[in-house]
Amino acid sequence: MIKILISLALMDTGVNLMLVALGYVKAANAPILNSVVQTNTAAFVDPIPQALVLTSIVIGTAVLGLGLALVIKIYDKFSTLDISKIRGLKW
Amino acid sequence: MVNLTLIIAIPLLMSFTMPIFKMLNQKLPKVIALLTTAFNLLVLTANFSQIMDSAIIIELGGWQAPLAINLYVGPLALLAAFLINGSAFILSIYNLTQDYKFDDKFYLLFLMITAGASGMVMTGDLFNLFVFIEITSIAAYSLTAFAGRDSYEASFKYLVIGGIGSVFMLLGIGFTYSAVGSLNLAEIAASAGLINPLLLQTIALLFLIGVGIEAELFPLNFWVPDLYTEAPTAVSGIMSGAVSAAGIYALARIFFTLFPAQSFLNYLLYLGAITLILGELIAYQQKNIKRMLAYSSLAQMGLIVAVISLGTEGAVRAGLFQLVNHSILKILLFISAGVLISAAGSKNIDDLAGLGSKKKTAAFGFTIAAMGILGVPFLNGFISKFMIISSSLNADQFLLTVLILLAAVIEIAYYLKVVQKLYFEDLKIEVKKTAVITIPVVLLTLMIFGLGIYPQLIADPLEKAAAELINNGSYIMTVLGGM
Repeated sequence: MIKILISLALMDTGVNLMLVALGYVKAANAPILNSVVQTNTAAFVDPIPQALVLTSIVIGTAVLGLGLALVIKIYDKFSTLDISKIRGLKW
Repeated sequence: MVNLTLIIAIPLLMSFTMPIFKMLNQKLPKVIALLTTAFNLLVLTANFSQIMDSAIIIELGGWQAPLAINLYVGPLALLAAFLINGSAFILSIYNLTQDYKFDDKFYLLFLMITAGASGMVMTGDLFNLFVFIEITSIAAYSLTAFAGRDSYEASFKYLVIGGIGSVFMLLGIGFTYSAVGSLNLAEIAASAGLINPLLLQTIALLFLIGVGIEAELFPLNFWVPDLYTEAPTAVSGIMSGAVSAAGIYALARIFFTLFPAQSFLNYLLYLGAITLILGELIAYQQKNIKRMLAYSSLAQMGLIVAVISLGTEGAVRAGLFQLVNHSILKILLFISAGVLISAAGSKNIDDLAGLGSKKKTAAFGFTIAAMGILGVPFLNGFISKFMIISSSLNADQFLLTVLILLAAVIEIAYYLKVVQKLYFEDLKIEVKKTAVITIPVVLLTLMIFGLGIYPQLIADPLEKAAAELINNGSYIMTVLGGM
């Protein structure tokens, strides 16, 4: 079950990377408006995907933490982490 | 008029101050949850007539629509918000008689689901929609685990499926953003025609997976029965009454307003029909009453999705009406089934035999709601079933009509089996003391009869909501204004 969560985290990271890559502009600056040094706004990296990724990282962490907490509870009950041995619920 | 942002803000504020209330008085969390949901209903009622006139748009942070996140509350969102907060209100009344182990935390999460689902139906921004879906489902993961025992497993299952769904949703958002360059729903809808058709199909599929999990569509719904069976009754109720309504709303918003194409709707139609038939068939052979209700709820969701995706105005109206009815009826079913279960000390249908004479209110509530779902005249289910069948005939979908009627026959078989067990068999077990649920049962029964005898009560909002869904041009116009 830990491995399921690891895969979930990997998927999350993959999508996050892709989102950052979507907004990447080659040889561009960080998207910070600066009154001292005038920067060219056309040479900015797109800030929106970065904001999205920041949010989704937080969400991913929360899901992962909750998942691990549940794994502890399930381990207490079944004394195993093998998902094929846990059959409390069937349809 | 009262600012509609409060519908999201107040439950969030109250949920995180819940531990403080608990410190002041042990009983306070229950009351606060009740008051908060009542407040939300009042805010919605105060805005009712204005929204019926024209949709309210709230720009957060004071920026113009495409730049900042905006909230869009039209007739459809109002209807869904009423459903969500109404369900939460009724369940809070039910909760007054319940004792949970960590009640401050329970109500914290309960209000968070309410806030998240309300946010889902009110937001006008794609990424904001994603965030609200996550708020709702993370709160739902943890609420499920409150029942202890097997509920951890159900919760873990939901968490894995929900987590994967959210990854797909996020990928879809990324593609949409790269194709359109905006996250505002209206702006995406305005330029959806310019997206490469192949990319559009991919995006639609990604969203279907992401949102279909909340809307309980066929290949993505195997978490539903486990969760409904194991979660506390109030949680099953809010999941089936409010969260799935919000899921249907998000699905409709994406496939009617964002990417309006008949081909996508056809896929939804097939998925909905498969969900309907499969759900009814599996519900028929269940021995566990909560599991039976879960499969029945899943089948109803399939029915609603299938009917809405017929795409004609009459069909959309019928589907939305069925959504309203389903929320009311399923909450009543879950509440009364919860009482019957605790009276019998077992979830097995056979063990409930003869309880009709001992637990009068619960058995009465269960029977009325079952009759409503079956579509007995003078109850609300009759009218929406009638509308559904006539609209699917009007759309020349004979196969779908046959399937719906067939599903109705199966429904009759398994609901009447329970009712028969309740009333016409001898009591075999010792009846345990249970909570009193007179107030919610009376309220819900009044609603069922009210909508059944006088459906004009809700005709106007339904019509406006259906018109809003069919015609996405006006949505774009109202949000973007004269741009």
